[in-house]
This record gives sequence, structure tokens and C-alpha cells, in this order.
Amino acid sequence: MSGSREKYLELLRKLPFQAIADTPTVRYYTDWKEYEARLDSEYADEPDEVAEFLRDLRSEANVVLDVDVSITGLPKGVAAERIEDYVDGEGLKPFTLIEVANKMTAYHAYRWREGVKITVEEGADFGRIVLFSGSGRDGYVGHHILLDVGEGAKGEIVFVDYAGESGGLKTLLAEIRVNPKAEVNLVTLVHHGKNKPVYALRAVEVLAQASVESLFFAAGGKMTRFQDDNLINGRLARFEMKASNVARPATKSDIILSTLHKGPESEGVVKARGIVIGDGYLAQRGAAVLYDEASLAASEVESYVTLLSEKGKGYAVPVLEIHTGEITRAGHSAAVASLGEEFTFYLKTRGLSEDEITGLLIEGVASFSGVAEKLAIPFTELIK
Amino acid sequence: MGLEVVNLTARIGEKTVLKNVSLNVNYGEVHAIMGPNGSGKSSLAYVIMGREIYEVVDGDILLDGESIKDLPPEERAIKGIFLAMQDPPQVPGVRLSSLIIAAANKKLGGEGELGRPRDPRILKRMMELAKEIGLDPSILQREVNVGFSGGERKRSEILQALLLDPKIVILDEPDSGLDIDGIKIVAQYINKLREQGKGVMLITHYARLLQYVKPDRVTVLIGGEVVATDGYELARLVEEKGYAYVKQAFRKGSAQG
Ligand SMILES: Nc1ncnc2c1ncn2[C@@H]1O[C@H](COP(=O)(O)OP(=O)(O)O)[C@@H](O)[C@H]1O
Ligand SMILES: [Mg+2]
Repeated sequence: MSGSREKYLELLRKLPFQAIADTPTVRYYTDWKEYEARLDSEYADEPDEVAEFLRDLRSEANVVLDVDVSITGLPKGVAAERIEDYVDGEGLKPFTLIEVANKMTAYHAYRWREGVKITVEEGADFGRIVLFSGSGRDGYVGHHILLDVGEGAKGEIVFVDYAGESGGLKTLLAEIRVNPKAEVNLVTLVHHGKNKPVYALRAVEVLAQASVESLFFAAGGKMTRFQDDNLINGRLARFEMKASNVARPATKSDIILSTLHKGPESEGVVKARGIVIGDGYLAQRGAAVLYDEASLAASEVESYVTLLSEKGKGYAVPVLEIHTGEITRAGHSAAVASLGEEFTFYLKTRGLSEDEITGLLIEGVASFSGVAEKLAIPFTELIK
Repeated sequence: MGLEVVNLTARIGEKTVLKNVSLNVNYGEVHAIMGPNGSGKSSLAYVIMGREIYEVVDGDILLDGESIKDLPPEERAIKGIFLAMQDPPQVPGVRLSSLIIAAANKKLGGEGELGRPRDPRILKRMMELAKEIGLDPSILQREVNVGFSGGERKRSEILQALLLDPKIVILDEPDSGLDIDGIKIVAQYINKLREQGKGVMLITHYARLLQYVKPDRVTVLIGGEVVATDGYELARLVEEKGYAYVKQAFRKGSAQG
């Protein structure tokens, strides 16, 4: 471990898991104890086994991180290199878009080992890049991804955050910059096992006139915190997201999908649908923040969570903050609905039995984002 | 033949909401059910459909002479009763087209995936019909009732009634919240359902809709009781004189007769 990481050790000791403490109005949606209990995990020596339904995608992947980093068959105009703490030269460096501001980011900063920097050339029409962040068997892995999409480049990025069924701990930080006029389809699949907490933080910066269409699917595990900060930082930058979040029985997820507008006339849309199966737990949160600089920005956040059982817990927490005088549009709506009597009755009047109703709802929410379809994975595999 | 409600008494919790109600809905006819707010109109629709929070205390419900009183709602639906609720709930995540396909599959019966149409013609028909009733066909890709305007909700229910080909259609205030153009379109398709030979039970608070759908039969419900049953004239009487008058007049009438 290089000396430069010592400062993070100090931060790790000093910083709290979450800046604002638990009060009657502010609560922890993440169960930090799950992470705390595993902070002293050893580094994992071997990769976790990858679930059957993801093996094709993993072998197709251009960049795989588990207990090692491998890079294969990159499309034309795309370069990738393994990184350690330090990156020379221009462009993104670790902690450019992410600040070490809490215990888990400090922990990651101190301990991460597998890192990669991917650079897409200006103007490249790169087709598709598959990035697969896996996990380690019964130990800790920390993955750090830098992705710099050059001006005017175009293509699809598949981003997989997978954790297998063994124990241990995983942290994943990703910093993605989409330079002016680039057009990116970002397809994210988060799938975590029931024994390993995962802390993930991704910052996506969208610069002037660039556009990102983000499709997102998450099926959390033991404890999944996935924070996706989308920084809409340039004039006329566009960001649009559709998310499906599934809390399977005996899993806990805190999914935070935010749009942070700093670009004038920028546009952001987040539509999230969540479903809680059995005694699962899902907090589906999102902040839409329109900063001072974001004059005439337009922002919309929609968050719906459906609870299938009384044993489940679900939260839909949108926050809209407007710091700019003039906006074009800002809207947010959210609701948590239980499979109430009226709701069930309505669907029964269409001839559906209770089991069929549950099936229809799970399929509906799970396929809402279009990720399963895009990756040609049957949604039934994703929610097993 | 058709739907027969026989001496039906039902309650929800402690409250008796239907008292000895009898009426028929014949095929090829529109039977309007009128009554002030809280008179039990929606309750009647729910009890016919088998909503489980209601308890049938007495009486029976027959479809083509067979009792359906003890069937769960989904089986009543499959047997051919369609209810368009007054205020249908949102179903986040589920596309209108997916719901229609699942419902049509159940109606057809047989085995197979619920999400794959057993009769592929439904896909084309739903697009065409949506357009016909003035809905943008893209509504089929939207989630059921999520962000639908009042008019879209009502029309989407009518669309489903037309597509699922039931025997009896119960429409609970299909006109509420619609402007005059909306009412005319809804009326046009209620008339179409009647022409197709379906029995239509049309619940309405105001007589306005009945200018465009001339009912074959009108029943006035007050306090969970049938106070009057007659032809179209009854609707006009309600409109001109109000419910209190009708109640009085018919009570006198029945006392004299
Ligand atoms: N869930 C319920 N619990 C108790 N009473 C109810 C419930 N739902 C409806 N009611 C009562 O039943 C009566 C009939 O209501 P409803 O059938 O909705 O009338 P309408 O459709 O004619 O306005 C009203 O007095 C109403 O307050
Ligand atoms: Mg009513």
C-alpha cells in the first residue's frame, strides 16, 4: 500500500457512515451495521462463482474486475489500462468526480485494489463496451472504474455490478465523464448475493450537449447501497433514466438515483419503479437538485414502490431542491402502494388470480427499465 | 337470460348497504341505476362482481340462470362480467397492453404464459380500438392508469370492456369528470356495447349521460333500496324533480297500488 493512502486511513477513522445522524425526520435507509461488521475483511484470493445466467455476459465483457483486472477485445477507439492509486497525465483521476466524504468512501479510498481506466476517443462510434465488476469469494474486493467518453463519441456501455453468493464485502466506485456532444446508452445491471454487503457509488458527469440514456436494474442482496449521482453539468446536457428495483425476500436495498443540475437548459428525467417481494426491504430514493447555474433546466423524478406482502418494507423518497430562479419544469411524484384490497380487486375483475397478479406486477416492474430485454436475460432469472 | 339480482341484501362491516334489491340486466339492453351519493350504487356493482369486503347476507346473483354468488371475482370475470370501476387504481410497472393481454388470455382459457397473447389478433385490435375511441395508441405502452387523465381512465376502461367481450358490462359512473365531448364518445360506445347484444348496467349520478344513451330501463336506488323501476321516463323525472320527489311519488304509488 502506498503512502498516499495514509490520509484516507485517518478519514476512515474520523468520518461517519452518513453525514446527518438518525433523527425522527432523518433516518438511515442503509443498514450501515452490515458494512461495519465486515470492515476488517481480508482481501479475497479468488473470484466468486458467477451465476449461470450471467456467464455469457461475463465472457463477452471487455473489462472484468474481480480479484484481478482483465481487459480483452476492446472496440476501435477505446483504450483501457489497469490503474493503481495514481494516474498520470490528463483526464480523469480517482476522486475527480467523487469526494471522500463518508466512512465507506474513505474505506474504499484506503483499500481498493482493482482499478481500470477506460478512455473512448473523441468522435468514436464505439458500438458496445461491457464492463463487468464481479466479486471475491469470502473476502473484500474494492473496484475503481474511471471512464472517459470523448467529445462526440457514441455507443452503449453495459455496466454490471455483480456480487456472488459467498460472504465478504465489496466496494465499487465509478467515475464516468461524458464529454460534450457525446451520446451514451448506459445499461446497468446490479445483482447481489444474499451474504455480501455491497457499497457502490457512481458519479456520471454529463457535459454540454451530451446525452445519456440510462437504463437501470437492481436486485439487491444482503445489503445493497447503490448511489448513482448524475451530474448534469453542461448547457443543454440531457439525462434520462428508467429504473427497475426489485427487493427479493430477505434482501435490503437502498437505491439512490439522483440528478444534479448545474447546466443551464439541462434536462433530467428519472422514472423509477420498485417492487418488494416477501419480507424484502427497498428504499428507492432520488434527489433532483437544480443549482443556481441551472437556469431554465427541466427536471422530473418519479418513484413508485409496490409492496407485495405486509412483511415487506418500501420507501419512495424523492427530494426536489431548486436553487435557481428560472426553471423550465420541475416535477416529482412518488408513492408506496401495498397490494391493497382495492388494487387486488381491480386486477381480479380482469380475471386474474392472486398469484397471477403478483406475477404480472413483478414482471411489469422488473421489465420496466428494459435492461433484461436489452441484455437478453429472462427477467425470471434476475429475480430468482 | 342475462344478469338477475334477486332479493339481495349485503353489508360492509356493520353497515347494510343493499336491502332486498332485485333487478335484471337483459342482453341487448341498457339498465341505468340512478341514485344520490351514498345510496349504494357502487356497492351493488361490487357485490355483483364479488368484492370480498362485502358480505352477502341474503339473496342471490344469477348469470344465465346460474348462481355466481359464491364465485371469486376473477371467476365471475371469466364467466363474462366486466366491471369498470368508478375510480380504478394505478398499477405502476404494468403496461396497459400487458394487462389486456393477460386478461384476454384468461378469458380464452387454456394453458401458457400469461404475457404472450393466445390470440395474436388482440394486438392489432387494441391499437385500432384505442384510436377509434379517441385514445392515442401509445397509451397501451403506458402503465395502467399511471398519469392518465380522468378521460383517459374512463376510456381505457371502455376499451377493455370492448376488447374482452363480456356478456354483462357494469359501468360505474363512466361519465364523471368528463367534458361534453368525452361524454358523447363514452355514450357512443355504450350504445355499441348494447348493439353487440351485451347487457349493460349503467350507474350514473346525473341524467346528463342518459341524453345520449337512452336506457331501456331505469332503477332508482336510495339508501340501499330500490325505490322505483321504470322506463326512460323515470330518468327524466329524476332530472326534473330530483330524488326526494321520486321517492315520495313512488312510495305513494306503491301504497295506492
Ligand atoms: N368500506 C366501507 N365501510 C363502511 N361503509 C362503507 C364502505 N364503503 C362504502 N360505505 C358506505 O356504503 C354506502 C353506499 O356507498 P356507495 O355504494 O359507494 O354509494 P354510491 O356509489 O351510490 O355513492 C355509503 O353510506 C357509504 O358510506
Ligand atoms: Mg359510487
